[in-house]
Amino acid sequence: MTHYPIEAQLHWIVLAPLLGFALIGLAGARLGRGAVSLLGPAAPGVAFVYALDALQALRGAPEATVLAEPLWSWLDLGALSVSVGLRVDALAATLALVVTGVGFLIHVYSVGYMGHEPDGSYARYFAFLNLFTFAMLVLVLADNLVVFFVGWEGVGLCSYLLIGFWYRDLANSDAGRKAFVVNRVGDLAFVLGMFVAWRAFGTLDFARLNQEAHDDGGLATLCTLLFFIGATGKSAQLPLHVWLPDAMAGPTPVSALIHAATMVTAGVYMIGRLGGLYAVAPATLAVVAWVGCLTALYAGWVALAQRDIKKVLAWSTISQLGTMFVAMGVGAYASGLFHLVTHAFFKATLFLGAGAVIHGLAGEQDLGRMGGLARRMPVTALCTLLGALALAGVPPLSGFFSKDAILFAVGVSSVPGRSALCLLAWSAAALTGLYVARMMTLAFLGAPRSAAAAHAHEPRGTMAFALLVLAALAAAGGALGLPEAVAHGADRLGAFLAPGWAGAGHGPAAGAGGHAGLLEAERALMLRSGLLGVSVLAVGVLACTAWGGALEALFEADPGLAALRRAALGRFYVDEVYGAAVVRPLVAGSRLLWRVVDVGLVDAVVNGLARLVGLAAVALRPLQGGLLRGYAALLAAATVLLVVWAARGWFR
Amino acid sequence: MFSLRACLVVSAALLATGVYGVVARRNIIIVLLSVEVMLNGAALAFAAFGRQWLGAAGHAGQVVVLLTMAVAAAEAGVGLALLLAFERHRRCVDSDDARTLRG
Amino acid sequence: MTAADLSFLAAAAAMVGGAALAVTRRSAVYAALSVVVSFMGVGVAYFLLAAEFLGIAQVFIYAGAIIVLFLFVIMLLDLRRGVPDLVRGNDRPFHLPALLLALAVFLLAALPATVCPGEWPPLAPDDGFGSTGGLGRAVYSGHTLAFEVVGLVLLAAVVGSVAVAGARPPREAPPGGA
Repeated sequence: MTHYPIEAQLHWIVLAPLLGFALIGLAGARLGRGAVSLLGPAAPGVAFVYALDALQALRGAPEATVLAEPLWSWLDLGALSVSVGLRVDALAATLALVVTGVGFLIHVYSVGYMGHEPDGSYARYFAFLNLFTFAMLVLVLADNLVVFFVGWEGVGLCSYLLIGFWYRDLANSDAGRKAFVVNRVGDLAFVLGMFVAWRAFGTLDFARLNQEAHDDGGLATLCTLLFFIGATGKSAQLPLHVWLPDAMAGPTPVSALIHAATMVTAGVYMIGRLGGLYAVAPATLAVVAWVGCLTALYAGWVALAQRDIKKVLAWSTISQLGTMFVAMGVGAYASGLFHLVTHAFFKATLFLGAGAVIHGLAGEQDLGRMGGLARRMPVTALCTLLGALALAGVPPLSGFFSKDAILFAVGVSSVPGRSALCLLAWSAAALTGLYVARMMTLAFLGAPRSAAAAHAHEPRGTMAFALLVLAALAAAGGALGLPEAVAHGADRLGAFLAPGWAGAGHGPAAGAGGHAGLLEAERALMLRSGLLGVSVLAVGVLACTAWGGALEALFEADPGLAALRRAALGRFYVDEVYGAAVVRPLVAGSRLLWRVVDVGLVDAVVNGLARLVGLAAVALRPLQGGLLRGYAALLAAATVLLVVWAARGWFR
Repeated sequence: MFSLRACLVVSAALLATGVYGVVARRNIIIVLLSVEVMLNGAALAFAAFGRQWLGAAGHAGQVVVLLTMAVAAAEAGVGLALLLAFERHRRCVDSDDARTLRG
Repeated sequence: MTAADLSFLAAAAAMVGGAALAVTRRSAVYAALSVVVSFMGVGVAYFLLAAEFLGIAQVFIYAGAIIVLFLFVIMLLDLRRGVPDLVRGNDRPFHLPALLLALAVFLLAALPATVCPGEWPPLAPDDGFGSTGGLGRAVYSGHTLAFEVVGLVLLAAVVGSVAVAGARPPREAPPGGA
């Protein structure tokens, strides 16, 4: 199917947050707190309105329409010509709406959450947040890989800036640096992938890459694999996931927006964007599915053991991203994107709820020091509960439908090792219920376990507003993509997205097929997964309340279980392995280079040269000592020599 | 005996003596006197060449001597003025004393 | 040995001897007086070289005006303190290098003498070579520009001397700085 780009005015979607950044960033605190509070949220709000406009244009147009706005030519080097242009198709419009919509709500929430900050850092916060929105929209609306990479690096920069937002605390800026460095590893692979793509296909344009993709000599497999390594960095998949839990050092709304709802999904979006290219590299897709699945399972286990409420959510995010990659890997692009959207809703809700809890408890993040918050903060508890149920996949909340679609797609896919993958994916889903139940029980049920928890207060104003809206979205977001099994034509998101990958997808979900047998199978699966969600949740709540004592006894009795728990709390020691295998040799090597090469060679040469100049100066200094007779003698001697030289022919 | 050759030798001796005075002495007055001696050595050579060539070329040599005298007078005037200013400042006329950059 | 030869020998002795005394005297007054002897010798040499005007000018201007100017300055300085104070200490002996340098200069400057003729060309008795009139005609006909430039140099020297020597001494800064 050929895409016919339609010329459109798209630049305001990107420009609005950039203008916001420029205004707030340049004027800073001089604008005044009120102006920053208005301008900050207004920037993504305006972008949201323009994105809605683009969506309306797309919905009125035929399937697989692309709106495009070529801006300018960036590079023109021989065969390589890179233009800067914006491009909105169904996929980009969906993402742009999520970024601007959720982004707007989180900006609004931040007005309350960051209210205690001094004016300067308040303005800095909103400037960075606007810059992030800009970079993310560049990434989403890019029409070729180079512009995409600009956005990709831009969001990485903003992530770094916002993780280390409270930079006076060394741990925070360390976390920011860790995120930055780990992401660079992935980005290197991404850049290499661009080189390979250029070499193999002679273009970096998304439309042409998807249409002209072919796998001659495995080059497509190679470059998609490299892109996926980039995605494991940005989207925190094994083995480059280590930065995301540390990224929780940033303000909670940042965790909600950047490290849950939008930026970390960039890897998933990238695979969707290059769907045509990935479709010709089934080996890569299998890798994507398996890495995603293992990450989902692994992160679920770790989440089960965390004590910090934000860490639980961070590991949950890693796990859910893994689930999305499973969907992308089995070719169910639309399902993956559907889960991306619902995840943005419910995870943002959860993070904002956690933010409200932290805010209400004056900075307390330890689940062990919470408890009984449902009575003190009923609105927060209700909203968080909606998000949590959606995450756990309880029908009929949004997460149920999107996760169900993925499980179904895995079940009917042709990916290698399908049965094992299926089992692991179901296990990961079950784990989700468990850790969600644990988190909710520890935070909101029981008796308060600290003075702060006993005197918690409900958020007000902008925070409550954003929380309520997002909770509603988390609850009802599933309506965007009800499966065909429920009602014919109910999968509106799928129908909107799928034509973009027509001919590329090979999973049944991508085709939105309507075979009766498949529909029947899907109904059965929905029943089972719904039951699983509810029962696991119940088991989890019981395990944390009624059975708590028995479980504890079990853990103490069996050293193996205790070790497992310690390992999960310690993230299965991946960071330690990296420390021993990568960081320590690097530090040792750097020390060696410093001591031997830098001090012994480079410094010695430089110092030697300096000493040589110094010696020469000492030797020549008498010439310029200010001694008149010395000057006269030199003058006379030089004259003698000059005359001798001039008359040299005469002496011969 | 009395010839261009002899005159040039005497002229060279005057010049060399002046050079010695300029380089060896620290008293600025004597340095200035030595410069005058050097100028005289050169002037003598000009006058001697003028006697050798005669005519217009010979007169040119004498004109140079005349102008040298004028320039020497100017040089002595300016040099002695500077000497006075220097002495007023440093209370001596030692050229080795004129080594610091600050007044 | 003609009269001219004898006169030249005497003049040469005066020139070189006076100059040698001048550059070696410790006292500036003696040095200046020795230079007068040397310049008188030069004046005699000018007469012998058929340059009467130059000889007169040498005696009047050099041995007269310029050296008197030197003596005035020396006396001006001596009014304030004794001779030995004018030069401080005796460090940094420069005599040997100066002597070597002077020798090199002498050899180099005397070298052309080896190829010079040993006899003067005869003077035509009545062409006025070196006379005041002849030299005046030469200055004002062929060398006007040089003459005018030297006049300008003299003017600049006069103005400069007055400006430099007439400048008020800087006021003593009060202790502790302003």
